[in-house]
Amino acid sequence: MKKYVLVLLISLISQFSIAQQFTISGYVKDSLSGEDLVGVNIYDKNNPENGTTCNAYGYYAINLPKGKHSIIYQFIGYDRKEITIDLQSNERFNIRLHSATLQLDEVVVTDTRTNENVTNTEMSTTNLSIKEIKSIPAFMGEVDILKVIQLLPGVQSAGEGNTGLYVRGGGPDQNLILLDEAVVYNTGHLFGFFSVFNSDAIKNTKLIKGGIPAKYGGRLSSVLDVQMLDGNDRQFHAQGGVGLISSRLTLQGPIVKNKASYMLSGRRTYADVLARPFLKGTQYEGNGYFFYDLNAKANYRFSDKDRVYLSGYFGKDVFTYKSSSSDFKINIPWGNATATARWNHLFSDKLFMNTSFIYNDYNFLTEGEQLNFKFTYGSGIRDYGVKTDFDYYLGNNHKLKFGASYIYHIFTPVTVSFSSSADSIDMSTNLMKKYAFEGGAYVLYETDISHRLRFNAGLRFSTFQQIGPYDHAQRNNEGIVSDTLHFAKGENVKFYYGFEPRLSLRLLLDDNSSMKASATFTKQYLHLVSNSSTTLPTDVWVASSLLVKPENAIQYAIGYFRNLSNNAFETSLELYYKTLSNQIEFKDGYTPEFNVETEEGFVFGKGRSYGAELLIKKNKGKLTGWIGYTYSKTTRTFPDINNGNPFPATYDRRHDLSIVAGYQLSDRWNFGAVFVYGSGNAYTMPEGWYMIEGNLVTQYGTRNSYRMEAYHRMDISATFSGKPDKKLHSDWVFSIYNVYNHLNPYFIFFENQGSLSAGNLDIRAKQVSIFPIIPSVTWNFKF
Amino acid sequence: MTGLKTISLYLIITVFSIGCQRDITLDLPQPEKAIVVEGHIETAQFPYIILTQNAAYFSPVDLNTFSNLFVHDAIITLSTGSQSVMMDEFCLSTVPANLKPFVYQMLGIKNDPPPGQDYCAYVNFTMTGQEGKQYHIRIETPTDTLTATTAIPYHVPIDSIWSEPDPVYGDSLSAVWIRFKDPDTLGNYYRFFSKTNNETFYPGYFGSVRDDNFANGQVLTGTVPRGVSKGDTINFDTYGLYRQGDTVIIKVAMIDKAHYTFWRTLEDQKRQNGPFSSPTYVKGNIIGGLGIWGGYGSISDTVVVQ
Repeated sequence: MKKYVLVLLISLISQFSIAQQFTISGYVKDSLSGEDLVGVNIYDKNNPENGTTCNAYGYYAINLPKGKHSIIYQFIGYDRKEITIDLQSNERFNIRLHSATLQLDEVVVTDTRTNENVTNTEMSTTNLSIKEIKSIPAFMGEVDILKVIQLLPGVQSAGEGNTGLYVRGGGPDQNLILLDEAVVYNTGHLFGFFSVFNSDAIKNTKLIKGGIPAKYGGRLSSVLDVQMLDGNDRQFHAQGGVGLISSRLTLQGPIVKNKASYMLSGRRTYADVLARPFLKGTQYEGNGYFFYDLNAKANYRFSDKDRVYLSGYFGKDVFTYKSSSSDFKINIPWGNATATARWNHLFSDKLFMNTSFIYNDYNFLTEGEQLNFKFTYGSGIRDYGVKTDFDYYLGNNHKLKFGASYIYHIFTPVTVSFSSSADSIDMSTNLMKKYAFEGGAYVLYETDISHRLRFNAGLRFSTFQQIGPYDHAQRNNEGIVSDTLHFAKGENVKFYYGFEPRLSLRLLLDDNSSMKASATFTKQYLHLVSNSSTTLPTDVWVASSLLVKPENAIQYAIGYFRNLSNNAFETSLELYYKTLSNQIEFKDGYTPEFNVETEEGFVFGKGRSYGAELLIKKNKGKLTGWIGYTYSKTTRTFPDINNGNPFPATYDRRHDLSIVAGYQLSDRWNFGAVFVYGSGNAYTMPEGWYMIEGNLVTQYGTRNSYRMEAYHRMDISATFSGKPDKKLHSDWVFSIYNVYNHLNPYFIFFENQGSLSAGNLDIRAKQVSIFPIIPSVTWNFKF
Repeated sequence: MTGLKTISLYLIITVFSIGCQRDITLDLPQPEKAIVVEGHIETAQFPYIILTQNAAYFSPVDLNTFSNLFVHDAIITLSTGSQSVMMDEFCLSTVPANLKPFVYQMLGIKNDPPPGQDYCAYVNFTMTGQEGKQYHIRIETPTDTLTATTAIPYHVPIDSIWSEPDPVYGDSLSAVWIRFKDPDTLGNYYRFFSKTNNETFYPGYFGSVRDDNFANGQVLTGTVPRGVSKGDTINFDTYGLYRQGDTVIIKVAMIDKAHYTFWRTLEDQKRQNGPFSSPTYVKGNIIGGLGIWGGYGSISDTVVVQ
């Protein structure tokens, strides 16, 4: 198969450039803010099949034969632009597109959406603009991109109000979540109720559930590529908001007009600040929780050929508790930091390069104190990475992309230490840090084989190597350490590598419909295994090692795409089938032990998921929105769990329905509504009890064999905008979460009363619901 | 880490103190009938086994339920090396008065059962536990055959034992401390018991076992919580503390890894109940049934609580 691809590549490349061709290239930006526009469609008016889209930096290049041409630039939410040119040499056109203006008395038709979703090879992919995201009712008024992503077919939330994502039967750690190219290891604040993405600082969000391009690697199930705003390079702007939970402020403006700009955005919750005066003098004084985020970005354009971006994210959750009745004190901070430095360079009009230097860090720490006794508990991961990507515009719809990446990981395992000044005890775990290199190289080629058939083929080669210093504990049959293998600094501990082929095909049926198919092989070298029903900041990322093999997945997807009513409606039906190997769960009965590597609690098995996803989306008119429905089944099979029989995965959900609607009543009033329905979560339930030393011991049934009640909920919102002509533009957002106050199951627990020997034992099941109807109001401003 | 999860839960509840809970009725499947072993053999003590069966989770419980759990007329063979003995069933209603305290101790109870109920155990009065030996049991009932093996590890000497008044309740209550040296080889597991005045030996409500992963070969110092009788309500404010003036015997028992794992998973299960905890399956060492057959290599020391 690989051989055929190669032969095909060579034969196609050899067909290039029959007529004399020239290149039109440049950047496309927003006319007001100067933000690079990603995904703008550019094509030859007389030959619309010859087209391209802007890359992640707003760059495009299109090859056209000598002569007269009309070039169209169009993008959702922007006025279409047409330029006419008599092409005699390579040309550079930097284009600024105007944001579509809303016409008061007519249906909104300025939205020049094309049939790009039908004609491109991308499938299982959704782009969401921040404008779309902000029009959807938000929980407690906090606009959250991850919660909007969860409304798409094939994506499930990790639980009520949780930002965790399960994509097509994959675990929450199987999503590659990138913020300006840096991996975000922990996407949740407050145990996942809010995401780390401050929507005011975000420009674009792209979710890829299948047919993942070879450019992306390291995770099995999906890619969520989030880009921060670059900052307005023409004039200063401030925007912000005051909500129930947090306040936000974003500043942006030019450093050097049209050349360099910056963006600074901050968000902080203030429940602790508001509560402080009321807690003074009470037993709760000194307790508090807050989180904050800071996004910062700057860029400088040296010339049309060179541009540099610096961007960073810094966020933390801090929880402090001080007992009033004893001396017990605890302080738990955790958070992410990422930094990216990028250099865009044009070697020629046809060859675009981006090189990024990436740093990121995730840390969890607990410090506790009582009398003269202290303890700390912590874990973390830190990366230093470099990656380079090339886009080569070969012409005649031949596109070649290639690149490589290399990351140095440092893993801090769970470390615990105790000290007591009174007894001069000082103990700590002696687990060693782990060091590893992760590498990847890819090549990706896209072209039209015929008028109807386009293919996109890619191959990724990835490696992972754990290096010393490392001590590996070898255990005997009883699980007791019998010997230790020492690895010196820099010595190879374990080396893994693999090929990950990717293939997508598009067959155009007519102008408005197409069939697409894809096959995606993926490998994953880092793993996050959770012992609970949701991910927690305490969960530890574990690297592939002597004991833990890389995870693998193969996904096949096929889809039918059709646009109706002049592209006003986009519809698609996709079927997928995915198999996963080397999947990880904790052993039955696993509980963490000090000084034992987390991975020693793992067992390994297989997974399988299949499903059908239907999406109907309306992009034009006063009423916009989508209906997404997913039918899916996800199982796991582990030799050591459930006697080797398949069991439902924690996130197996048979039916999942989301309805999202927005209605623009006037230029002042805008309404939104969301309805979600999901089959009940899989849950493990007790089936019996028995008695040991007078204790009731619970006997649990088959893993995940029980279903909770179905989940359903409706949210609504209304936005009232101030007069658009004023310098200070403000709006009020009123929203109601769970408007019909459905008590959705969050978890079930059991309460025992009485005793067995007294003959009055009473066991009751209780279901906890956490979010009833919650109204909220947010005020946003912009100037 | 379980503790951290509890804190997490606390956090969720404090931050969103708007949640609500209600009783629900669950239609749960019936568990497969299984025989439950609670059996021990200890240094210089007679081996005993309490044989019960499991019950459906929401099965109605009345005064007869408890005594109906006991499994009678099982054939139990205990063997070590080439020696093999049978274990005989004794029920409280038929036990001679002079043996009752011993049965009380085995069952961890204080009084005879209410009228109409009876508690039984299987005992052999010809064999006592010896350190360094392996003990194998085979249990046969009309429906099941169960087997298990355990060892009595060598005990470690107690270095010292003392009491210290509690920082909060120091007027009347104290904690009991113990110090001993963990052997140099890794893989030692302990279970702690206390006997207050005329009571029998009880383990603590939780935290009764520990391993030496964290402090192999070191001198270990720690408190031994006051054990509690089953059915007693626990006041968690003063849990683990002893009344000053009490005479307390502390017992340190060495156990093997499977035995340790059983108590650790059982105590982990007791501790958790919340959205973040996946169910802990208690891991026993009985082939063909549930529960534990465990050896104790024990030693005790006495302190009068100051």
